Amino acid sequence: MKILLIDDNKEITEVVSYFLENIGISCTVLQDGKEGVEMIKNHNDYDLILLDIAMPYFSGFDVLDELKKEDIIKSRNIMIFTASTVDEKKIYAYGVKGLIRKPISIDDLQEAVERFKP
Amino acid sequence: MGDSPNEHQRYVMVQKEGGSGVKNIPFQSRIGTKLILGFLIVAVITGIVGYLSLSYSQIIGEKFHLLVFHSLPAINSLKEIKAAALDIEAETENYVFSPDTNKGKVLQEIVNQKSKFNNNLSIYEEFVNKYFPEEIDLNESIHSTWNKFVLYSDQLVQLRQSVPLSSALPPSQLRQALDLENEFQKSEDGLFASIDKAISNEVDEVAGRTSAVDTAIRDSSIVTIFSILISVIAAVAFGLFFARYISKPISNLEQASIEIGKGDYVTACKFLSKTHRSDEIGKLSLEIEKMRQSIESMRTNLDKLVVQRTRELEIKNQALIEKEKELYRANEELIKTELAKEQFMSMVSHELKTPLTPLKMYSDMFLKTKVLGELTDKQKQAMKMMHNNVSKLEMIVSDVMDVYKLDIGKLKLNKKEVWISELVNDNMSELQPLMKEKQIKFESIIDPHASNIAVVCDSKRVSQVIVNLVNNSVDFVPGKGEQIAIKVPTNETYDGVLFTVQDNGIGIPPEKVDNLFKSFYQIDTSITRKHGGTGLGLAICKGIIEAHGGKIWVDKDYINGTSISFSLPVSERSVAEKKNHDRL
Repeated sequence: MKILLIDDNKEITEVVSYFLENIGISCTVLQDGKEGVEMIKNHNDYDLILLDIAMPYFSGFDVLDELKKEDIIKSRNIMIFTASTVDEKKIYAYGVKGLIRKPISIDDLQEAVERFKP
Repeated sequence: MGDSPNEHQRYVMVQKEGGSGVKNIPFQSRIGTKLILGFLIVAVITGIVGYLSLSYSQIIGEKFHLLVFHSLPAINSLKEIKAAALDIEAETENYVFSPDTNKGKVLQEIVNQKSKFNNNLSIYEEFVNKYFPEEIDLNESIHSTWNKFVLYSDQLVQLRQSVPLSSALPPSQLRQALDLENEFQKSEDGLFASIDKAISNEVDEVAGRTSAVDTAIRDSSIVTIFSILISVIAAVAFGLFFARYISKPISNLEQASIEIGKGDYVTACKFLSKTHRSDEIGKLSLEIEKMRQSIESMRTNLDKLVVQRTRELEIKNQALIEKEKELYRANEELIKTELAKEQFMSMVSHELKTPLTPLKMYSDMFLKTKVLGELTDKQKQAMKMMHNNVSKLEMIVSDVMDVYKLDIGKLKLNKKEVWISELVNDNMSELQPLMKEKQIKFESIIDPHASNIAVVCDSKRVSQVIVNLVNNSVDFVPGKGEQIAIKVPTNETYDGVLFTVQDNGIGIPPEKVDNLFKSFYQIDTSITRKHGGTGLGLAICKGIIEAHGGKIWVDKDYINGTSISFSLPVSERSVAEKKNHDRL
C-alpha cells in the first residue's frame, strides 16, 4: 500500500510516517501544497492521500480547489486532517473520502489504512 | 395662479348673512317676476296688435257700411226714378201719338210709373236727409224738375184726351200742342239732367267710399303686419335676452366651479364677481363664494399641514438615516469582531491541537504498539500517566473550544430524528465499561409512552451531555453499590421529551444549585482536582441543550441524591405515526 502525506508540520509528518512505515506502508511525504497538487495530478497509484487543511501559503483548501478544476478528487482516496470542527460540511463538499480530527490518534490512522487497503 | 393669496381679496364679495330658501329674495328681484314681466310685455304688444287690427276692422266695416247701405241704395233709387221718368215720357208720347185704343192701359202704366218715381224719390230723399246733406240741392232740383215734367205730362195727356188723333187741330191749338210738346221735352231734359247730376254725384261718392275702404284695408294690413313684426321681434328679443340673462351667470358659475376644482381660487373669484345679483342666481353665487372661501382656506391649511408634516418627516427621516448609518457602522464592527473571533478560534484550535498530535501518537505507539520497543513496568506506568494527561489536555482543549463556540453562538448542531430508546441505549453501552469498573449499578428506565417516539437532536452532542452528567454522578457517588439511572419519565409539564440522570449520591447543596451551570463553577474543587475536569462540563451541557431549544435544570425536590433533567424537542412526525399506529 502506498500513502501520500501532505502536511507542513515536520513533527507530525515524522510521527505519522514513522508509524505507517512500522506497519509496513510506504509513505511519501510532501510539505508543500503546490507540490502536493502536482504529485496527485501526475500519480494515480496512491491508495490513500492524507492532506492537512491548515497550511500556510497554500492551504489544503487551495489544493482541493486545484484538484477540483481537474475533477480528480473523486477518483482519489483523499482524507483530510483538520483541527476545526466547523469546516466539516465545506470539506465534504469537495468530495473527499473522510476526515481525521486533530489531534491525530493511532486508531484513526489504522482505521483509514484498513479502509483503503488494496 | 399668478396672484398671491392677498391680491385676490379685491374680488371677494361682501358676505350677506346667507338666507335659506327663495323667501329672502325681494319679490321684484326674482327671476320668475322678471320672466312674467317679460311675457306680459309681449302679451301687451300682441294685444295692441290685436286691438289695432280690431279697430281697423271697425273702420273698414264702417266705411263698407256706408258704401253698401247708403251710397248703393241711393244710386239704385236714382236709377229707378230715371227709369220711371223714361217710361213716363215714353208712355206719354205713346198716349199722345198712338190711336185711341188701349189708352186706359197706358194711363195706368203712367200712373204706376209716377208712383214708382215718387216712391224711389222719397227713398232717395230719405237718404239725402239722413246721410247726404250736401245733395239737398240736387234733391230739390229733382223735385222741381219732376213737378214740371209731371205737369207737362199731365197737360199733354189732357190735350190728347180732348182731341182725337184723326181730327185736325186748328193752327192755334196745334201751336199750343207743339209748344207743350217742346216744354215737355225741355222739362224732361231738365229732369234727366238733375237726375244724372245726382247719379253722377252718388257715383263719385261710391268711388270715394270704395277707395276709402281700400285705403282702410291697406292701412290696416300695413299696420297689422308691422305690429306683428314688432311683436315677433319683441318676443324673440325678450327670449334671447332672458336666455342670456340666465345662461350667462350660470356659465360664469360653471367656470367658477371649474376653477375651484382646479384649485385656482383667484380666477374663480373673478368669475363669481360677475354674478353679483339680487335674484336666485345671485344667492347661488353667494353660496358658491362661501364654498370657495371655505375650500380655499381648507386647502391652505392642508398645504400648511402637509409642509409641516413633510418637514417633520424629513427630520425623522434624517434621524433614521443617521441611525441607519450608525447601525451599519456598528454592524461592520460586529462583523469585524466576529471575523476576528472566528480567526482566533481557528488559530487557537489549530495551535492547541497540533502539538497534541505527536504527544498522543507517540504515547499511543509506546502503549499500544511495539514499534518503539518494549517498555519496562516503570516506563509503562510513566507513559500511561503521560497518555492520560494528553487525553485530559485534549478534552480540555475540546471543552474550551465548545464553550467558546457556545459563547459566540457558533456551535453547529446536526439535528436529526433520533429514537429515544436508541439515544439512551447507545450511551448506556458506551458507559457500561466504566460502570463495571466502578461497580456502580447502572440502569435505564424508559416510560412506555416514549418507546416509539423520536426526538429532534444532534445525537453526538446530546450524548456528550448525557455522558457528562453520568460522569459527574460517578464522581460524586460515595462508593460501590450505588446506582445511576437514566430515565425518560412521563411528561405532562414540560415542552418536549424529558430526560433525567439520577444518582443516590451526596447530592448538591441547595445554595450551590443556582450557579451550577455557570462556566468554571465547581462545587468542590478538591473532587475536581481528584477526578479531573475543567468545570466547563455543565456549562457546555446547558449550551448544548439550550441550542436545541430545550431546558436543563436540577430537580430540587429530589432528596435521595442528585437528579438533573433536561428536555429535548419531540419529533411531531413520530408522535403522529405512533397515534395512527395505536389506533390500528
